[in-house]
Amino acid sequence: MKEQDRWDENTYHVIQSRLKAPGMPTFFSPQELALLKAALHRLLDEEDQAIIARVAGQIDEHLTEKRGQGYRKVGVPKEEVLFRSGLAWLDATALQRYEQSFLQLTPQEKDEILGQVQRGEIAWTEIGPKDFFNKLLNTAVDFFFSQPEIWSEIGYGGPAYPRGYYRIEYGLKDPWEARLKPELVEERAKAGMGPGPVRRVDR
Amino acid sequence: MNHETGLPWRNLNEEVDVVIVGAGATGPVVAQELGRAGLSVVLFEAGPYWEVSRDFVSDELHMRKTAWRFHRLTAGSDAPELGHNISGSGVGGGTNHFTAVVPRFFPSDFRTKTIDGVGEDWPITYEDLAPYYEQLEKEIPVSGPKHYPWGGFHGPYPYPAREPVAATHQVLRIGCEKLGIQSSVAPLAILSAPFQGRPPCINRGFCAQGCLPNSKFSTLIHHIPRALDAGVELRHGSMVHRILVNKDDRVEGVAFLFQGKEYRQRAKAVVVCASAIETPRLLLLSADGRHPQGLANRSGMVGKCFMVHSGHEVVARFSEEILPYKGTPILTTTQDFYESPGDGSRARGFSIHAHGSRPLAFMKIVTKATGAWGRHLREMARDYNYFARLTIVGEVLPQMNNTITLSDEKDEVGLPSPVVTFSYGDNDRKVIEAAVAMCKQVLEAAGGRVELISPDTSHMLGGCRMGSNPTDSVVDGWGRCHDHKNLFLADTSVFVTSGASNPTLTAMALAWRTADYIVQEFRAGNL
Ligand SMILES: Cc1cc2nc3c(=O)[nH]c(=O)nc-3n(C[C@H](O)[C@H](O)[C@H](O)COP(=O)(O)OP(=O)(O)OC[C@H]3O[C@@H](n4cnc5c(N)ncnc54)[C@H](O)[C@@H]3O)c2cc1C
Ligand code: SF4
Repeated sequence: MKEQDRWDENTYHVIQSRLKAPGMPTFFSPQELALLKAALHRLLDEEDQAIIARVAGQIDEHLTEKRGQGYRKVGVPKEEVLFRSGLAWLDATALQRYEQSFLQLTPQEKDEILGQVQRGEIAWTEIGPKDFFNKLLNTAVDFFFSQPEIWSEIGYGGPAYPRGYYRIEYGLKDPWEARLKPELVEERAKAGMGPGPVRRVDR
Repeated sequence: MNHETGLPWRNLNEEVDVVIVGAGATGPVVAQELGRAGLSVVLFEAGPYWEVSRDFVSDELHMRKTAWRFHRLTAGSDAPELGHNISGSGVGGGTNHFTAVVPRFFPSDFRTKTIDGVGEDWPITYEDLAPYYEQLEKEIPVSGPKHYPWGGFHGPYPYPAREPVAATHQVLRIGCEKLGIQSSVAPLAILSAPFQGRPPCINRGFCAQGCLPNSKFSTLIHHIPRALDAGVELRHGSMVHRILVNKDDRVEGVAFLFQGKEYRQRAKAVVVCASAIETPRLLLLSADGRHPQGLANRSGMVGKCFMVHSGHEVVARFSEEILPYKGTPILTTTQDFYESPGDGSRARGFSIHAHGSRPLAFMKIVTKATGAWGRHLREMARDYNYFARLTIVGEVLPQMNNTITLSDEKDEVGLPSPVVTFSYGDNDRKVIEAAVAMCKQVLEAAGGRVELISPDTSHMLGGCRMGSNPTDSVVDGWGRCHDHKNLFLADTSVFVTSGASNPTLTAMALAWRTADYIVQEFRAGNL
């Protein structure tokens, strides 16, 4: 993000518009949108309400415009149907199980239901719980990991045009890139986050 | 200016020499050659005419717009994921967002039946294509090593290899070196030095999102301007939905949809370059009373033997930063396992490419391989910079039950949607198994710990294969339909076998060869 002055104009506008707070939903009803946000909160493990609202808003926009993916498996309903009836079934399952809306459940209860939906351990009609879950998760991941804050968090350099990268080999960084502390690398190795330093045999 | 449409359509009311359908990887090559030979040509493209500086943006999500978006259905036990990963739309087609890896096919790819007892022999040989490979490599131009270890061509490539390579690609080199496997910088249609006003690559890694500095070749920036200079008329936003044929089985032109209205264009010959899904679909859509099974389909082979490459992803974690977003997505490769091994464990083989990752591509692998969500998902994401990925390009053998057919459902413009049915065969699975095992070994030898293995596919091929026997193929060795003298197919749909190399250079070489043949036939008065 701090590099945004270095982006080309079109990229800058696309990313800026992604940061705008969402307007009123046009595909989802307010109740559906609330359910979507509740599910996104758990699926993405994200507490920042503003980001969740943006992701939900962008999913709403995506479904309104029917941008689609260009394909779907025979027997799996269209994504508009999966989202709408999937959210309804999610709430229905919560009511049946806990006599409360999905929105009122504790995080643990929500996760339990979502896990069962993912594993297909719930009988729904019209749509398959697994189909709904996969569509929801994949869409959520696409929009969430397109948010600039999340790029910063995972250490993604972001759009690098027109500047590009020159120092690209092992252990090298261009002058403007963030540095890692060697202690941190050591710590990660100790914590089992990798099998030890890589030997550079080809330089 | 055409008064009906407000667009500068020049030739709508005349019979032109040639109509070409599809301005992707192959159509513009044909258009350039026919235009230069002085033929009158109209090139149709269903999608928009992209303008790089206006339409391309360094963003994964936004650039999905370059994919074919009309509704398609998939089926079979290994129904492929289509979308951005598979096909393009708009002028330039798949070349706008391909990663520009352009190895040649191996000589043995054209003879798998004779050599390995599987698949089918092509009606042409490697030698038939070699001069076209060479011309294309010079023209695009291709960067690659001085010595390429595999196949029928050992370099040197016209432009120097893209060195140095990024860490994510060094991983493959290091692993291979430890295991005694040969590896190489990949031949790429990406500049390592300036060429005709285009600058060398700046390693920003967005090749699959459209290259902004024009360092990467696409037909949009290369063949299209040359075809237009040669007088070719380009009609974008125009979807051809029917090939018109007369009582003598001569093709008379095409019908196309522009902004919901139907128009016709007459032509002396038609060349279809609409991709391995859309070409068979168009032939099926063109069924009439005399051809109830679709055009060019007396053999029943239209839509049969459709292939994809297996494209499994193997991802390992390293303790040092890899920064997988730096560098052109694919820079290093090994084709050491391309052909049948001596032990009879499988027929044919695979290539392995080191593959950089932007966040969406990486997270897709994470969710597919692990089903992770919540805390687990975020933990994986936080370590994004520590992962390196290898991708396989596995040969898939042609099978009659892998097909393109028409469904009862309609797409956005009211045409029956295609159904893509695909399942791996036993040998395909053996190839995948061997390839994945080898990726693991390479990654581990390089010091990584393999954590994610995700099935995927790439590259669509076949569906209208070439052959010398009209009863089991759709076109002859020149791309001419057995059933219709003046109808040609010149794209990835004519592939007989899939090889284990990225196919686009081969498709373009075939297209160029077909174009030369069409010119000859016009000159001889046969068309
Ligand atoms: C992400 C990605 C990475 C890739 N990487 C590589 C790589 O590194 N190396 C490689 O060799 N290959 C790669 N490929 C594959 C490559 O893009 C294809 O092999 C190639 O584009 C196929 O060429 P084609 O001419 O058959 O079809 P396309 O390039 O898909 O062109 C077909 C064109 O026809 C148009 N069309 C279709 N139907 C109609 C109709 N009825 N009327 C009018 N127009 C129509 C389409 O809009 C499209 O523009 C990659 C593909 C993708 C998606
Ligand atoms: S990595 Fe190079 S070729 Fe690819 S998009 Fe960037 S500048 Fe273009």
